[in-house]
Formats: sequence, C-alpha cells, structure tokens
Amino acid sequence: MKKVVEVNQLDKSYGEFKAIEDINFMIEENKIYGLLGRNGAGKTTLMKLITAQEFPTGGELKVFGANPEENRSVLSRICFIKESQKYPDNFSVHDILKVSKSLFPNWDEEFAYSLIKGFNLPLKRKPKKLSRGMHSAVGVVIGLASRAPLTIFDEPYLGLDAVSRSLFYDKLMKDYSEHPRTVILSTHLIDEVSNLLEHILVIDKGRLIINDEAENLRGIAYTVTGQAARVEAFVKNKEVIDREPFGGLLSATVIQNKNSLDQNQAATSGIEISPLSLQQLVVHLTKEKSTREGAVAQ
Amino acid sequence: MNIQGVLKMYSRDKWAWFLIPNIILFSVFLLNFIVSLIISSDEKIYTGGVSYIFFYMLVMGIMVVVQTFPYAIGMSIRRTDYFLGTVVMAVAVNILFGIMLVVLSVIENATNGWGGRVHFFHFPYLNDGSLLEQLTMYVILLINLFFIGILISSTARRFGAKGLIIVIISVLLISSVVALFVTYYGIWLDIFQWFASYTAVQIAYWLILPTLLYMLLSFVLLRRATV
Repeated sequence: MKKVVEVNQLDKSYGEFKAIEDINFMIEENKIYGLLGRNGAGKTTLMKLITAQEFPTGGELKVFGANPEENRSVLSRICFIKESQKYPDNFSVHDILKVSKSLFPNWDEEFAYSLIKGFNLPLKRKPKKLSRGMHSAVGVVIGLASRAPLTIFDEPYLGLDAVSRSLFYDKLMKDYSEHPRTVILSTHLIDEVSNLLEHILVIDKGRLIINDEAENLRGIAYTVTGQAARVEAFVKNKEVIDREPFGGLLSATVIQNKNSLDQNQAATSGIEISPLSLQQLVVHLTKEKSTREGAVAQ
Repeated sequence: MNIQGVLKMYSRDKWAWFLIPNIILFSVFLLNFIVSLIISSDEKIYTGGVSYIFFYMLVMGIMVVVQTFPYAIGMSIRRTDYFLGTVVMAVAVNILFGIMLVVLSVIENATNGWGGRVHFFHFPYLNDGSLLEQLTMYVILLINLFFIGILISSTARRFGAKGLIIVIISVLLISSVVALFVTYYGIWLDIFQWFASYTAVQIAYWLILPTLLYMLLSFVLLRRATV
C-alpha cells in the first residue's frame, strides 16, 4: 500500500493553546477515511496542516512522500473543500468552475456540469447570493469533479438538504469506484456516512484517540440495559465507558473484550444488548468527563 | 502551470480589473467635458480627475488579496505561484492602463483639450518627456500604488487587523517625526528644489526601489500567511 499522508509527532499551537498535540498516523492510497471529533477538536486544523494552509509548529508531515509546504507537485494533487471556503465576490458559479478547470489536472468538466444540474445550482449566481446549502454544494461539485488523488472534505454539507446529501454520497461512491482516490471526510453526521468509511480517525482535544478500521469499530461496543443489579453483575470485570441509571434500571455501555461468550452470557441473564453505532461510540468517547459525571449526578 | 491558473483566476474578474476603473474614469471625464461645454470661458480647465485611476490601483491592490488569497490558497495554489501570478497580472494590466493614458494625453494635446480646453489627461511637467518616458512614468506609478495596496492587505492577512493598525500607527508616527525634523532644520525648500530639479520620469525611476521593497515585503508576509 502506498502511503499518501504520513504524520509523525505533529504539533500545532496558537500561543498557549495546543490545537494539535503529538499526532501520529498514516493514510493509505485509495481508501475513504473518516476524520471525526467534536467542534474545536482540531479536525480542520489537521486538514489545513496536511494541505499546507497552516504551518505546523513541530513534528513531521509528509504528503505524497514530501513536505507539502510550497510544494507544487504535492499541492496540485490535493483538493481540500472546507466549509468556510471563500470565493471572490465577483465570481459566478460558472467562473468558479472555469477556474477549477485550470487548477485541477484531473478536472472532469462534463461530470462537474452534471453535478451542477443534480444539485440545482444556478450557474450565474454570485457566491454571496448563494444559500448556505448551495454554497456547500459548490464545494461538493469542486471536490468531486477535481478527481484529485487526495480529496478532503471538511463538513462538506452544511445546510444541504437530505436529498442533496444522499446525492453526494451516491456520486462519491460511484465516482470513487470508477476513479479510485484517497478521500478524507470530516463530518458530524457520522451515522449517514458510516457505511462509506473504511477507516476511522477520531480526534479529541487535539489528540488522536482512535485510529482503526471501520469494520473493527462497528462491533467494538454495545449497550446493556436491564435491572440495575443484573446489569452490574454482567458488566463486572468489563470496561464500562458510560452508565445511565433510569429508575431501577441501568443502561451501561461496554467496550467489548474480544470474548465471544459475552453475548451468550447476556441471554441467560435476561438483559437486553444492543450494538453501539459508530456515532454513539464517538459521542461516548469524546464526551467530556465532567458532563458525563454531571449527568449522572442529576 | 499554476501561474497560468492564477492568471486564469484574475482574468475571470474583468469587472474589477478593467470595466469598473474604465467606466468610472470615462464617466468623470465625460462630466468634465460637459461642464467645459457649459461654461463658456477662454480659460483652460485643469481637473485632477485622472488621479482617480491611481487611487483605484491602490484600492485594487488591497482588494486583490482580500478577495483572492483565501480562494487561491483554498484551491491548492502555491503561495509563491499566487504572488508571481499577481505580479504578472499587475504589470500587464498597468502597462495597458499606461498606454491608454499616454494615448489619451496625446489626443488631448493634439485636439487642444478635446476642442474645449479640457485638460484631463495631459499636464505640464508630467507629460513633458517623450512618449516612452511618459509611459514608463505612468506604469511605475501605477505598479507602485498597486503594491502599496498589496502590502497593506498582506500585512492584514499575516498579522490580522490589529497588526495592520499597529503598522499604520507606527508609519504615521515615524513620518510625523521625520516631518518635524524637516521643519525644525528648515529643509522643506531644499527637498522641493531637489524634486523640481528632476523630470517626472526621473522621479518615477526613484520609485522603482521602494516598489521592489513593497513586493519583497508582501511576498515574505504572504508566504507565511494562513487562510
């Protein structure tokens, strides 16, 4: 497998504030990655570092085997669509497409215009007159039609309606299978995309807390619900990441220890077990300790 | 490859680069011309209307970075390429404006102020040299102003609004102190005489050095600016 991004002990601080702290990971070619985490966790900063829009304060960063900073051959292979992307005020959507054509070597004009149709984008409209959803759709069109070997979407569908979002997922999967490339998708709508993602990176307070195949994470945690005493007995000696009492009942979230006997034991104990979705897992892992304890105390 | 991309980006914005400055310049000119027709007098009418185009270039320099830097960097353009593309665009556009101003000043001179004694494009001293010297003077002056604009917005881009305010206040303070000293030693007259001893184009040549300095500083600032 070719490595597209290699990050070693990467640091980025703004004065005292550490936005990215000692992050290490690697991104392989032609896979779809999910970069997840709460607001302010450092996702956008990390993506800006990878695309040389920000400069790291420490550590090593290699994109396509080289430092991306002022590196034309690296940058020309990247398309980074961020939620806050600005376009010149005098440009129309049409102008943006024309410029994209000359900036991205793999640009597919026909594909771009078919996407514009699909998203109902007005070609002559200026960016300031676009609604939030249309603004996002312009980014999605650029990101998909650029066919950049490394395509990064940061919250690409803020304000996009459900129809447009599913159009985005469909087009992304279809085009990805025809033109394989590396995709990093940062999003809060984890459930919607969890089937697309092959590998998951979770960032919390500037640190990387999960770096695993999506397949491994899907079955990793489950919630046990039932009478408090029975649940307590069941979760004994297991790693409990969350407890929520409800009257005489208790709902506990457990990280699985590769023991397949767990399920059988549950059946005999008469308690209910439900697998945890990727979204719930991320919520549990990135929720602040204080709020978790606070919720229990109430 | 990517400098072409930057030029392509600028060329999509014909309004800001060509149409708006020309529309305003010619509207002001037309207004002056009409006024000269209404006022029946034998006196020559001098207006500073043409100076508008020079201020426009200053503003254009400021707006270019504000409008296109976050976009260009967002679209994976190298900062160096962005800067080089901007220099090429600015030089090309200002040569065109320079040629336009020279041609109009020649026409104005030949038609005795558009037949109405209007002196809008042609001035004594400024348009004294050869056509090439006039063109050089215009182009240097326009590019100089454009890059003062670029320097201002690059400072804001790199250090934020606060940084820009600190720099502007410092510049104002330093120039006030310099002005005070000049007054104190009574050398204003010498300075004016020094300027008067040179032709317009010679003074323009002196502007090349600070222009290059503005370019260099802008590049250093943009090279480390983030979006």
